[in-house]
Amino acid sequence: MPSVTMPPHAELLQRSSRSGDLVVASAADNCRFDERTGVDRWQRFAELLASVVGAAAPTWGDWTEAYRLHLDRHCNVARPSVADAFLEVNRPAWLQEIGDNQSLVRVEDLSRALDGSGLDLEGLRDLLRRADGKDGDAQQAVGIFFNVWNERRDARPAFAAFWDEVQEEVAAPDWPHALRDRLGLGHFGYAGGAGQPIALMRYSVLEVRAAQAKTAAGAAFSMPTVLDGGLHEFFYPVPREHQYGSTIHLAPEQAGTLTAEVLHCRIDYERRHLERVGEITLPGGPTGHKLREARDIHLYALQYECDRADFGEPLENR
Amino acid sequence: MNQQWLAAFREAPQASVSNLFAGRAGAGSATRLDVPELLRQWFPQSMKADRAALDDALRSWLLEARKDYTASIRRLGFAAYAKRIGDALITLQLLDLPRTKDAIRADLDAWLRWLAPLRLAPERDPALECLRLLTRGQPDSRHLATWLRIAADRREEYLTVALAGLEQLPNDGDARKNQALMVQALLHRATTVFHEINGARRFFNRRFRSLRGLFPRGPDHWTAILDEALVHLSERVGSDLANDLAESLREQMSPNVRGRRQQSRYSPAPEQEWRQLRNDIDKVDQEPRELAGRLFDLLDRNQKYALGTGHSAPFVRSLCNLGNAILDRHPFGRGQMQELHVMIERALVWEPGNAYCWSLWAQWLQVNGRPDAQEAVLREMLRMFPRNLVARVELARLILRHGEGSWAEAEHHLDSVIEQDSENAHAHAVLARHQYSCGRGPEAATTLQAYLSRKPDDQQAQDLLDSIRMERLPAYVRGNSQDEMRDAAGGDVGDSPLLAASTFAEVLRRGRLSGEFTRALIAGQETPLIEQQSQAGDALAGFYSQWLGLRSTPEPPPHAWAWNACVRWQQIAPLNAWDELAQRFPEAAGETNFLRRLACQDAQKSQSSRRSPMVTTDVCARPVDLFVEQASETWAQLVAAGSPDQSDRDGLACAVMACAAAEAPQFGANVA
Repeated sequence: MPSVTMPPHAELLQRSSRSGDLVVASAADNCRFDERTGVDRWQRFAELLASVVGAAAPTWGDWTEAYRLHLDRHCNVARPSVADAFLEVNRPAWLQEIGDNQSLVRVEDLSRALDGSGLDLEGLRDLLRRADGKDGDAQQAVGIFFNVWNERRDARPAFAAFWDEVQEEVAAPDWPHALRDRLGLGHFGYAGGAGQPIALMRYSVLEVRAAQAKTAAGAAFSMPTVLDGGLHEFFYPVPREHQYGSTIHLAPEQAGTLTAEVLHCRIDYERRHLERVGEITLPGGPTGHKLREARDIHLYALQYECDRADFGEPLENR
Repeated sequence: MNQQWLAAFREAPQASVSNLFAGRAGAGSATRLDVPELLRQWFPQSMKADRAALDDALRSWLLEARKDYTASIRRLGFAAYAKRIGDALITLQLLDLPRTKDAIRADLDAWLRWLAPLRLAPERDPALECLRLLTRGQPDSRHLATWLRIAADRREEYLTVALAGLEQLPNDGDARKNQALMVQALLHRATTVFHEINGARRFFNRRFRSLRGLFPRGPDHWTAILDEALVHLSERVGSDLANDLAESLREQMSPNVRGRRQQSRYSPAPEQEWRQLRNDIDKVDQEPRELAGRLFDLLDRNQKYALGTGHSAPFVRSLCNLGNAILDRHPFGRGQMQELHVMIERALVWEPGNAYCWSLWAQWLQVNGRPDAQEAVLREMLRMFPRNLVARVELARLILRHGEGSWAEAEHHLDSVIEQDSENAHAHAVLARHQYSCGRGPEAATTLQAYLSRKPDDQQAQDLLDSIRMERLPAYVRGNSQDEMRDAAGGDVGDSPLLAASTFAEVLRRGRLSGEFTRALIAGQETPLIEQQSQAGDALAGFYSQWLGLRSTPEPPPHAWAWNACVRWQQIAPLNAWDELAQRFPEAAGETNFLRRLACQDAQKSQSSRRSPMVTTDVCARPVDLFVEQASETWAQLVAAGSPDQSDRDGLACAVMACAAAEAPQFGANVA
């Protein structure tokens, strides 16, 4: 089994974690504290970083450039390639013991799917309503909508939570924002930005395993690591003792709530997977002291949960 | 919103966009989203000035990425490069930014040539994203033929974009026209992609119902559209499958609607009128101006029919047939000549893979005194239609004018024609005249004697032979009678700009590449253009470079079929390598299957797995399908005659790969 190691250029990460820019400090922390990324994955990343900077000492800008290249090449991969998360290189982070009889939940960005099908959110709602009312033509159109959507989705790892854990948010009248906050989806909703059409997807662990069986993936599930898209302020790695990943609640007062999060391989969506559609219109991710507070509270909860006072480092007082 | 990035963007838009794609715009939750989704959120409709700046910055970034191809591929690899290019195009879609879209629309062929080889998967196909972008805000019908053509592509995602393109065609508020064209496109696909009635019907019914689901109307509305489309289908495709499908779909219609067939909204010019015009053209005493008026009126009606129904055959066939006769017999004035060129260009928009359109174009260029352009057109014709012997002889005749440096190539073409058709009078005559005029009289006599031994009754050849023997043949004039016809036309249009300027530049470029390739093959001449353009990822130049085994040949891009196929051919790859290629290129199934058979060392066995591609002759026609059909026949004959040798295999393989190395150029004229 590949061993776990420290990321390269620890001094750069240490220096960046002291940045006055909380986003940079948070992202550097995510690299510093990740305990699930194997030596081979960091080695691959180090090679990409070297290709960016050559012999010079890297800067944080070089690091983020190499990170984007890593995402484009090894994470957000086109079919039928398999993302690193489910390849042998990531075995330390694989999750093999997830019970089949569970439902997963995921919030999907619908903008590309709608664009591809020539519908807007209202048009899709109307079509779904007619299809659910047994209009056979609308059912065919919905089937094609899912085909088109699937055509446009690549094989990147999907972040998902467990349905039974977020039912309260799902049932909330304003479920898009409630769920966005609970799942730490700070990239949905910007002040002054455009509304974000989303879909709430629900499917079983078994369906994910069935999808994996048709690919070259070594695992269907894995623990989210910083190299899987976690170089941002709303991600926090977990101590090695923690069974799953854990989302950061975007509301600082609830940031102590740890919600289990996993990565899984791509599945093709079907009508039955779509629970509902909605729109995110309000800004989500906290900034400034609220961000610091949310991350630190989240960290304390993780330390407590895993009995690992040595894990991570709060942003406070840096 | 990342305010820091936005501030930098307002200072230096292009550098900021470049940083964003490169990952240098800082970390943060932006890394969780792809660039298109991120920018869609960051640039709402209200930010008009910023969106316009973003539009321009994306265009500059794309142009820079193209210019920087070689270095970018080295730095990023194909996967990251293709993803970023695709993301830029998707950003333009999601934000519906107009300026870059318009720039692409005006020069589509050049963009597709760069983008198509970069495809990695349905979701990572920059050419497809480029086409998807153009579905929005179409100012006219110029892409109609493109949508119909890609609707018949085996890749399902191309159908998706085709239907979006047809749905978004301008319609003066009457969406029925779009719906009718979408149904037509589904029928196109059903009869092109499928080989049996059940699959075709199942596909059509599912998609047709989906259209009804998206555009809820009463049953009569859709039945009338289907009924009309089936009439056009019967006119367009004569295959058993099309007839069976039409019959089967008519049976599905409710009986009360079936009986009430409506008059079609569109109809082509009656065949009788066409025939009458043809007869009048054949008469020598007709007034050219009057003939031109009737011709253009007829073509105009057939063009309108094509625009309404997607059925281009009446327009293209009537143009090729009548235009050819007109150019042969009647000198047109300058204005009429230009109008005829517009029509030819429109025909090429509809059917860029139609050999008759290309022949007519070459003829027009000849009559109008554009030998360089004619040469390029003939070279491109020969790449797409290697068995077009008339074009090959014409090209040989034309390049003989260049002087001694081109004689070897010209003789190569003439020898090739004579090898394929030992009774070709024109090729023998041109070759003999050429041999005589360069002081090889005995050789010229031998050429004609060989021909006359097979065609002893050819008096013209006999007269030519007599003249050669008696050394009475006048000095060979490397022109022809149509040069005089041009003079009679009251001034030529040789200097007037050709309408499809960018496409024409592409035809010229291909002509130069193909000439360089041929001369390198037969005389080992240098290949500077091939080398330079293969470095830039050009699929055709790359194939030529790979076939010639040039040391500078770079790694082929992922979706350049011929280039990738050539690598396998040269490596004598195992059969499963061809299967892998077939999977990667579903749209090239016919040519891959043919090469697979050709690569099979057991010639008899290679016959048993033969399967013909579907050959169509309309808007969906692919020259390579036709050529694979011809090459398959040749291969079967070679196998039947004994064990074919490696040079037979190489010759066929090279021609098929060259033919498929580039699609027919996309003509971008406004057909409306």
